[in-house]
Amino acid sequence: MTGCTKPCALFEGKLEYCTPTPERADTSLDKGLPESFVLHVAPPACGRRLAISASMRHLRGRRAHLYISEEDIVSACYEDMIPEAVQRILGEVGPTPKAIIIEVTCVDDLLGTDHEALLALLKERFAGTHFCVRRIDPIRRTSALPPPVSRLCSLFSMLDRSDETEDSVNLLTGMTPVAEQSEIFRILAQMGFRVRQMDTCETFQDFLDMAKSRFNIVTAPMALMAAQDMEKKLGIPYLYLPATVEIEKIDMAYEQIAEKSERALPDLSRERKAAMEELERALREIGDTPVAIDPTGDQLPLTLARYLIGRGVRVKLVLENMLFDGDKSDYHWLREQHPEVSILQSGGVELLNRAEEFQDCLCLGFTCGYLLRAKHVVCEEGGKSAYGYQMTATFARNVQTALQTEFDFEKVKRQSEGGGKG
Amino acid sequence: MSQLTFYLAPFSSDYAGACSALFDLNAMVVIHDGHCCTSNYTSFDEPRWFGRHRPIYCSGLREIDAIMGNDRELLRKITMTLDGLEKRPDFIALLGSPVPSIIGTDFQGVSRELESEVGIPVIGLATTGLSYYDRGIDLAMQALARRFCDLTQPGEKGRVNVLGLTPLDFSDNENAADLLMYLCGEGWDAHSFMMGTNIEDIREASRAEVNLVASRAGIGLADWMEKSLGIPWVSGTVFGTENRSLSDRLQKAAEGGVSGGDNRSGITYKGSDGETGGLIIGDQIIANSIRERLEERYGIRNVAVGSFFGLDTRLSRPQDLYIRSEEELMKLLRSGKWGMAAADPLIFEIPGAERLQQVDLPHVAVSSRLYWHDYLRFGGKEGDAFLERCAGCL
Repeated sequence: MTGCTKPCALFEGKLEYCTPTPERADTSLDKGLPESFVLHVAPPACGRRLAISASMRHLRGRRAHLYISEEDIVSACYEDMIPEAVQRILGEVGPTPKAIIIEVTCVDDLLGTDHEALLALLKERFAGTHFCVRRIDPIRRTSALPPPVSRLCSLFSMLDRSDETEDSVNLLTGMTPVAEQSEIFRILAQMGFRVRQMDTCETFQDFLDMAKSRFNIVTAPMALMAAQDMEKKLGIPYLYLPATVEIEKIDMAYEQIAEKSERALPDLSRERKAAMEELERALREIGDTPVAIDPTGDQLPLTLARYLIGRGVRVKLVLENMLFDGDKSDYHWLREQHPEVSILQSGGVELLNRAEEFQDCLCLGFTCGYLLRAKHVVCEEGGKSAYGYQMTATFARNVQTALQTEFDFEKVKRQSEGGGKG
Repeated sequence: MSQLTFYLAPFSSDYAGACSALFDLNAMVVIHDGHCCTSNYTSFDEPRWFGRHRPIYCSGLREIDAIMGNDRELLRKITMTLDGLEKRPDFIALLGSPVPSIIGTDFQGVSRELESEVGIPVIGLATTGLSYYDRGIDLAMQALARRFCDLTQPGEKGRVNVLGLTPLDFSDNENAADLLMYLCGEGWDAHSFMMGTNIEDIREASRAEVNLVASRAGIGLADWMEKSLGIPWVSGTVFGTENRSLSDRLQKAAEGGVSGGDNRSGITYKGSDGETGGLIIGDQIIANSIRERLEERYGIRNVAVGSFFGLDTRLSRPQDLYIRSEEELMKLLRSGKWGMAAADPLIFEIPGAERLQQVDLPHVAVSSRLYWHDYLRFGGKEGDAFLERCAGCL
């Protein structure tokens, strides 16, 4: 499987509707690198959701906000305030952070801040501390470098080339790490590899040690550009093996891992068979029920739609915003071979006006489920995602559960609130 | 370095305040931003968002359009969406955010252009994300009044407008309904300018005999209506079960007895209170109402009101505090001047607060959805129990 670095917008030029999220916290919030600290530099309004989300995830105490005023913008002097803020953070926050992530927003894109010069200054003045600039700039959401992609590039830019190579493999994921129950952990361990993921590093040194890995496995399209940067800068090769429920693609993915590592794969027949059986059961249960898919249900909804149609499922609606190279062909295939499938903008207003057409759908994803007020919704809970055959089995079980129960939106609403204490 | 905060989340911004003011109206609202600003409002500043589809949208501003000042793209998106709406809105509101404030988008000009294209009223609100929610509410309410209020309507005895009734101060529990029911119970014909409002209430707002300002965000409109229409105003809200004085003040104002600060706020004691013992941090008018009840019921006078959102000097006492930053609050808390504080629970996480007797007073504009599901009901027995807890600490 190959992938293009640059994502592109599928839709452009429409107003957007913000669907509530089932999670308590904003999903774009970093779980936080261990022993790191975030300095958010922006007008007050920009940081509200991230600060509240940090509280909900009990990450308070690991970020500060430096507010930019109108005066600072006009005088362009806010860059000068950053070293002073860093000084205070390093002096007051305990234990002293080993890395400081400077978050900037859309405003910064228009002010033309010289980030390289800023980082050079900070590294010189605060030797021993790692720095990076992370952009949260949705005005570039449909550019080749949207915020989720640039986030990962920024964070991994803190790694330095290592002379040492370890028997370890990095999983480069999207917003959620791969769940440890996934068989890939057992497989790689049996092949003699330690698995490293940014989100599960326990120390900042663990994160830096990702530079010692033999190769990267990219499980999400948004992590692909970071992998390409790491290949150039650190000499770490990568495999682009995005998470999927398709058994045949999973088979191929494991074969590629074996080839890359030049080590034999352990026996996977038990996991494969279990996943296959669960999937067949789910497909039988879906039967004639029409299906809607959005990016919260699968990171590549167009690809999943194509697969499900191939398995006899009646896909009626797909919501999507971005196209990665890997799913461009799926988009064109759907357009040409199945024009009856509606492909609408995720977050667009069109679905609100056409909701009645799709209300009978089984919704794979919270966004379409919410907008359609659907009875049956697959909405995965928890902050980790399955991978490999485990992902297929989990997906299939979730589908069966969703078809057997009516989705409780009130419960989701209650779960999305609170978290202030305890 | 007062612009640096470690403990408090950024407060609710001006565009969130403006959106919340327009939420119940049949309006199409467009925030001109990339995405995050709208998401800030819908997910973190609007307790009513989940479960209710309102035509409040993000313009999807992109870098190239910002750089080129391409306002046509905004107009195109709005007209295209407007055509697809099932119900034609009474008006459209265009709101700004940090990026338009930098590139200098002329919201008045764009609004005029859009109005001439679509043939329905358009109001432009130059919110910036650099101010707090109270300014946004004030901008929105004044714009509505100036645009839609029928100034020729004759006054009507017993009619009262409630200004500043916002979920950012009152949340989405029974607080707004309690206040309106209290007023009805006292014989007033009460009309909210925000929560529970409609365009007819706004058109006929000039018929009010008196305005009740329920939160500080309503003062600007109250002043404008007093100046333009001669409608007097008083401030306050219900707290606990004994609220007779609020209706009495409204009555006095309606009878023409109001022009100074005392009657507006219920403050009867203007001298220094000597050593202060309690600090109530929140919206100035809600905090004043708590202080008023503590005085009436318990004879407690050593209470100061503090606010991050400004103080109207007509409604404040000498010891009251406009708190400009987290750093300033930290110094105040460490000063040892207060033994008790009623404030949002997030404030109690600031060093220095641990030595105080703490009474939780959640404030949506401060702590967002961390506590909005568990909000204090100001009126009735829950309000009484809150007052009791405060009094027990003083």
